[in-house]
Amino acid sequence: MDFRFSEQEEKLRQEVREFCQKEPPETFPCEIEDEGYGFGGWSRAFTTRLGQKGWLSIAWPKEYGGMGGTTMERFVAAEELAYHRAPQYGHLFGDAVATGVLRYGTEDQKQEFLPRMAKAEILFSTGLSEPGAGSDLLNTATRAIKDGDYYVINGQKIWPTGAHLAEWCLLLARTDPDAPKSRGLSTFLVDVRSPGVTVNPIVDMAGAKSFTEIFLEDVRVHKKYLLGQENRGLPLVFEALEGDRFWGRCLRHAGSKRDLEELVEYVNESKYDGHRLKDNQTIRDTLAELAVELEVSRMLNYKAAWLLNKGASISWESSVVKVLADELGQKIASAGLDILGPEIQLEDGSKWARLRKRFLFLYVFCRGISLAGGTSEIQRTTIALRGLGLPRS
Amino acid sequence: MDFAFTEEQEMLRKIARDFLATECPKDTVRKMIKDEKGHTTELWNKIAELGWPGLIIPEQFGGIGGSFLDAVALVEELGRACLPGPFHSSLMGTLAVMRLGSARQQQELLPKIASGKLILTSAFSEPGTGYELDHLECQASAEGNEYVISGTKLFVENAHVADLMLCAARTKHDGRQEGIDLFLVESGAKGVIRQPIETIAGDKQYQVAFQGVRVPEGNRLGETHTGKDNIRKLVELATVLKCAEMLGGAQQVMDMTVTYVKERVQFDHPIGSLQAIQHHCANMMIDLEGMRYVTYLAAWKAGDNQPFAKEAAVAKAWSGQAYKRICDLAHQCHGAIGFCEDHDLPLYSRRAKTYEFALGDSRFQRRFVAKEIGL
Repeated sequence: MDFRFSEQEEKLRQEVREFCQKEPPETFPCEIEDEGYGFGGWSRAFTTRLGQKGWLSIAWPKEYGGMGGTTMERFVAAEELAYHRAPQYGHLFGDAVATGVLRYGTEDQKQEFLPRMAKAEILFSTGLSEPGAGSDLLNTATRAIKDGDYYVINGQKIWPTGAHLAEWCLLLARTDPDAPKSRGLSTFLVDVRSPGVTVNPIVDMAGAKSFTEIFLEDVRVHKKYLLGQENRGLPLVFEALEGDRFWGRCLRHAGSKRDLEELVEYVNESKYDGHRLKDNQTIRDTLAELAVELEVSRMLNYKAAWLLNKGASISWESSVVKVLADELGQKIASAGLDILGPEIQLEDGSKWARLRKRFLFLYVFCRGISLAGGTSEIQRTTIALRGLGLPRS
Repeated sequence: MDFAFTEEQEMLRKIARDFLATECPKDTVRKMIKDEKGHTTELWNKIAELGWPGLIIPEQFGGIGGSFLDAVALVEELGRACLPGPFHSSLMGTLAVMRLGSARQQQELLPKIASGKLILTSAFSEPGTGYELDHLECQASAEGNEYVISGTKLFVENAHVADLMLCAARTKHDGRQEGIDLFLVESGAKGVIRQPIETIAGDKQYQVAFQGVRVPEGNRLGETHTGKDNIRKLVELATVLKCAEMLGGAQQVMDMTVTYVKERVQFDHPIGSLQAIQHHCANMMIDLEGMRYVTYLAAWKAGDNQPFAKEAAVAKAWSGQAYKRICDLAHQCHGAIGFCEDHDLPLYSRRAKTYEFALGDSRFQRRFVAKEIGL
């Protein structure tokens, strides 16, 4: 047992830290603001800059534009960036797509996509859910019908993050409607600028436009963009979701550490009703409890990263990561608002609403984080079935 | 980064698990709760033969020379089996002698501990004071070559079978306070009065009154004064070991519950196929995984001589709550059968609360964590 990062990993962390000091991440423009998942906002400019540094492709093989490093190095860099609230939203999910391409893609696909993804010349979204297929992906109705060298795709996707900002989409569609539900699905790499594709952002209850819906009308996708075997798309999707759950939540502790530090600073400096907040035992206990949960979340994120780095499956471990991360985010936002009090609603810039910008948004947005990427209930079922071997209902 | 135990540690765990399965079945555990002594000499002797009392004692003193993580690996298994008896309390005493004892004390005591012939325990907490140590009232006044100890201690584990107690007391020389020291006091010494406490777990804890107990100066642990910080470090090590014991117990509760819900059929299906039950089990698993790795982190840091006070507090704060939640859900999953006295589950759910109290409950730990995060 050894919970130290390697020298190489620490060196990279130091490099990232210095980079964040020299080129403060908050100076890069964001197309989507930080929604509190832990990975910051969506920024094409920052993603491009990371691509120049080679930090989008740390763990990919060199022949495809990667750095030939390890998944743990990739994680350490992302963790350090997350602490600095760097906008990683735009590319972090690309890791799950890249893993799929590396594992299931043809040589041509690897050559075509990975070097461009490494440089942020193209970004990916993931199109899985549909109006009738949310948690139940087997219900996917979007159809892809073979027509010579092409597939013609018709259907509707809902909730892909950032499809309006990305060029490509990993898309799940039904290629054999007669086969059993799980056996007729395939995955495609689809250029969302193709004729017949319409992408509309969805305005969520926090007023953000990160989710989208995609309409596909007779979209012609060349067969060379079929990822993996026809009708065998499901294992790929499950692996992608595993990666999606992990990369989408594994940085929560780093982001939340900053939130907690800001709350501690606020409590140390503030008075209410003539009493110093830091003398309030309830507030102290609440913040300490959050610090404890943050440590738990951090260790389980590290454990999943360690497994992933070994090439092991994280089928249920990534669900543990997600449940803990989402609940931690919700608890910090909620405790934050309790501590900051009603004045948080005053106008931006008011000295009584110092942490307004972050916490008010976090509070409203965090309702969605235990839904996005699979609800907490689905995660718990996954833990029960895959982690504990309980029988299916 | 490496989240796994070494092969040797896994071997130790397996040996312990197999040994305890045969030598310490649950009927024995239940019997020992009602037994006045609380353990059998026969089992203790077998444990001594395995070398466990000397697991972390250096080879030069007749021990195995294992690491702190080895001890954590073993204690986890003991917790899984609910091992009754003085092993845990003696281990804390062993750590005290190893870390703070003088060369002479180590030479004299450690070989006896390693062979299982000498059993220790520690007497820290007092009525009205927990483990903060700042408000201890027990006094040790110097009189010639002796100290006279007066005060009352609570929750002294296995005081009835321990040969020596490590008593924390304020030393006083010529009426001047000198800080806190640890004293080796023979349990049968004149003026030592031991009264059993009926704990929720039914483990053997005692209230011990020291009524003008005289001990030679040489029984003060260490060459110089022990000091509060050293004692606190000792409590922190014991806290990590307690978390490991709780972790083993929680793992067993998880395993028992999973087995039960797969077998128990209602409405023509195993109840483990019902989502209400599945989600209870998933929540148990999340709590358990959390217990495991915050405990291992604290244990690794402690064994690696890094500061680990915060990690120990985090581990105990989480484990205290998580173990209870795990047991609560296990009871829900087991239904009425788990509510019977002769079922295994109450052995754990009762311990969960007693162990949460031990060495400072979750709220106590969070008070410390609050300071650590800068409040």
